[in-house]
Amino acid sequence: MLGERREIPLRADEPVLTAIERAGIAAPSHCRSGECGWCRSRLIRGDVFIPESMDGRRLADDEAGYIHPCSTWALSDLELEIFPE
Amino acid sequence: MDKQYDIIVIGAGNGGLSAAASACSRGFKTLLIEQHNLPGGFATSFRRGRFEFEPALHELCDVGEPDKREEVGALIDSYGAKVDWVKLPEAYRLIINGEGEERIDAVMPFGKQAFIDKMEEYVPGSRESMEKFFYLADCIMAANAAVAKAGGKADPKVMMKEHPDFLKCANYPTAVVLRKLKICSENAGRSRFARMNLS
Repeated sequence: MLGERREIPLRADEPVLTAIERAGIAAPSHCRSGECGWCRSRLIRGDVFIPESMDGRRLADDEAGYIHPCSTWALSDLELEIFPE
Repeated sequence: MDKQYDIIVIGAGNGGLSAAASACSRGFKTLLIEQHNLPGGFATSFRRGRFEFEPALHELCDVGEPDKREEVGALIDSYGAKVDWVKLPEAYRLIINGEGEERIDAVMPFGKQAFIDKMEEYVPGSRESMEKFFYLADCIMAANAAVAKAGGKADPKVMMKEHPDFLKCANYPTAVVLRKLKICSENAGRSRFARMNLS
């Protein structure tokens, strides 16, 4: 639902998308390998790690604070805005 | 999301982004809706492998300098948009593959005078033609502006008095004008049929 806020647990050893789905939230995804951009989400707060080989973001995404949660690992607590279909 | 807006814009392509930014900058409560998960429409870039493709404009004209804005630059400034402008280093680069003299790799700079000077380097003796060419281009721009100002209904007498050189070339195809200026060869712009020299 638009504007709904949920607090969910995150593990450091799995992609952020997995944590979101584990919490029962239907986040959009497609390739699950970083390339397609279907899961594009806005990272409002927090530190993340994105392996170079899986970073399929555009230059503007990186600069504007967008991540692909399917290929992103949390390094701290995060605040993330997702765009379900 | 509120229930009341002054203006609702559907689609965040260049048109929608401009409309919404313009509305916002004038103080209207504006909602911009986009079905995709990112803005940009036809101007959206995308990744394929290690490349990012930019299918929108290859360049944006009429921007101007920060202290001397042209129309497009002024418009975008009026939105209060924070833009990372990237200046293109050259106006054109033409590469034609070939052997020896047939091979061309020409880089043309911005600026009328710089363009003419560079062309003279590549094609010695071209200066006179190039200067005529740019003079005609200026005539055409001035005439277009005058016709636009008159709402498309220019007075023929005024046009004849104030834009005579424009009128001299206005009725001819570009290729004919360029041939007359000795910028194009005799065959340029002619169909293969016409070039057969039927007697």
